[in-house]
Amino acid sequence: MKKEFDFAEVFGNIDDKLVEEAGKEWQRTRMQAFYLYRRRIAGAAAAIVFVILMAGSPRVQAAVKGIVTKIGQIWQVEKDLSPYAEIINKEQEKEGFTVTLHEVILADHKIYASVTIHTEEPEGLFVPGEFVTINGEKQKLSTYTDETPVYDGEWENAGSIEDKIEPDHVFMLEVKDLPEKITDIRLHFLAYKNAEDLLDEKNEIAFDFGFTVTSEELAWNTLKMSYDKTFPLGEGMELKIKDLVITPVDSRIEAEILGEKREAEYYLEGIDSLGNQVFYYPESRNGSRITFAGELSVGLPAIECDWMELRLYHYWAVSEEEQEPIDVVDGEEIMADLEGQLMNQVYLGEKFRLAVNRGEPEDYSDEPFDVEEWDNFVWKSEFTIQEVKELAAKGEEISDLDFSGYQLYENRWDDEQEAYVDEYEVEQGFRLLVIDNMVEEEKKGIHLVKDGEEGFLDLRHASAKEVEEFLKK
Amino acid sequence: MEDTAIIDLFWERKEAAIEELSGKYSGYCYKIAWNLLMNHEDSEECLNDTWLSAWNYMPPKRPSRLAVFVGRITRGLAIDCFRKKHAAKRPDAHRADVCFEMDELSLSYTIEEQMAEKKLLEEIEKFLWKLPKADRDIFIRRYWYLDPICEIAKRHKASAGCIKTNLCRNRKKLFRILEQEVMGQ
Repeated sequence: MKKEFDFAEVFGNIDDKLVEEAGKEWQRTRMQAFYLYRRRIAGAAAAIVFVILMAGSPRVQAAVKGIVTKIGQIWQVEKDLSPYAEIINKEQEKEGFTVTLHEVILADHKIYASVTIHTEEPEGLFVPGEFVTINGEKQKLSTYTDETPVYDGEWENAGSIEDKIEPDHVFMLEVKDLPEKITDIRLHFLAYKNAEDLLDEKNEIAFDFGFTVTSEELAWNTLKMSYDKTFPLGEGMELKIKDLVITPVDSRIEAEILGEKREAEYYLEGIDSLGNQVFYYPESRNGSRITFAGELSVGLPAIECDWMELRLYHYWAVSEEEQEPIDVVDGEEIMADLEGQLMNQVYLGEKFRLAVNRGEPEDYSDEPFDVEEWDNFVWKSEFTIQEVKELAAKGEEISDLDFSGYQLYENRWDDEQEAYVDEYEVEQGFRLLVIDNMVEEEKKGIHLVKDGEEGFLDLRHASAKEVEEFLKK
Repeated sequence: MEDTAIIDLFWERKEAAIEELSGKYSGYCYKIAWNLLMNHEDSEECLNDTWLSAWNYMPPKRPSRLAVFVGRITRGLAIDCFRKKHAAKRPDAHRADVCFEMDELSLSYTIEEQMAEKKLLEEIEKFLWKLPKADRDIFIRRYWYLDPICEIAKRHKASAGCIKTNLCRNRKKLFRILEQEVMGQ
């Protein structure tokens, strides 16, 4: 006797944890440059002014797993930044302002400082000073910004900007010139009781916080690599990678696009050797030269990684006439949509790898990383027939193999298979398809197909004779 | 009032139990009912039936997550109410969509497979846990919380088309898994 399975009813009984998780506010990750809200102030001429509310109780920080630094809490990132942070925890009280410097992270020429400000002054203001003192000497700041997340007016239930300013802040102070050896640093902040007080230096309420640091600690937080690598992008275009900087909180890639056919925006996306998703947006452009920037909240390589595998994507605005749908659902064409503007986005060229070398600190006993091996690494462009036969002989074990040494021909979503398919070239017009299918309990399917022919051979279950016959096609 | 204290009131059969429960969760439950019914009277009726059901269930039940417990009751009542009201005629856009989408995932199976429904629920949960977090959120917001597409799109800062595509693909994936389980392939 048949019975109906009522999905609507049964789905109501899923695990409470699943329901509870989806009942919470959604924590977005920003995946596109358009959502960035950070502003850079060129030079020290412009001051950044922050309005602080009447003193109230400190914001209750969301309990996020793994956050042990104040900077991590304010940025709401799960990555543990404590290995890179100098813990300060000093408090000063002056003329109605209580300021606590929690910790600093030194990265390249930047100092990130987490600060909590409490005041009873209803119009109180708090800003970084225009310089820092390093080894007893004043060093002018080239940039200083407030890196505290703010509502951009589009978030649900957002009120005015003032309603959302919290006492906790992360300031970024960029120093133009750093001395070779650094022993101590003093940070300077200024508080004002109201906006009018800004006009007279006498009204400044100064807060200074000093701490010591070693050059080794500073160096350890910054990784710099130079390359002279060019990667083909197709259609006569090339991507030249020049320099890479990775810190625990940001990253930069200096690159050049050669042979560009049309004006477009680019971004880099990929993964590092530790499995971190990586995303670089185009921070600035000067002709064919592009500076790509990565941020912790969007996707950053770990400073400890051995390599990064990236792919370049380009996107451009299209007219409605030009646009093609990316999918059709229930008869409705689905267009790529970004911030209300019609965009096309396509990857260019193949994935490529950058070796990331990092010297080990003195107390490590591991062998040094072999840079030459990675510099000379060449991906195999295709499988040989013999290699395919050897794969088939392994049977089901081949699902667990890693094909990262081979150049990936194409990666796509297959509607019929309901799986992601990685395609590799095999000599003599064959292709190897690695099918990541959820129904198969995480066991990848490995199929051999021939160009222009129907049918496929399941290499996990084919006998040697079946393989031989298939290869004769 | 803490959930445990509210549950204690139900166990002690105190009248204040329903007052406390509705005071805390009426907005939450109303939203779930409204998402499907889009009618004030029907949604209010679901709410009242929810409090009555809670009174009948507790004791002996002592739910560990009271919000999910009452939300589940409201959801079930809303779906029943919707089906009764619209058995004969085609309802409007969002409500039709979410129910039709869920019906796509309904299957027939033989009564001999007594454990089938429990097994299917396990497969659904396994499927959900395997999904990327965003996909899982979208799926549950749509089919448990009955959110309209536009609200899910706003929540995820994505276009409605992206959300539709995402749901469509994951429904197809899940259907294949459920079908395999029922057909025993």
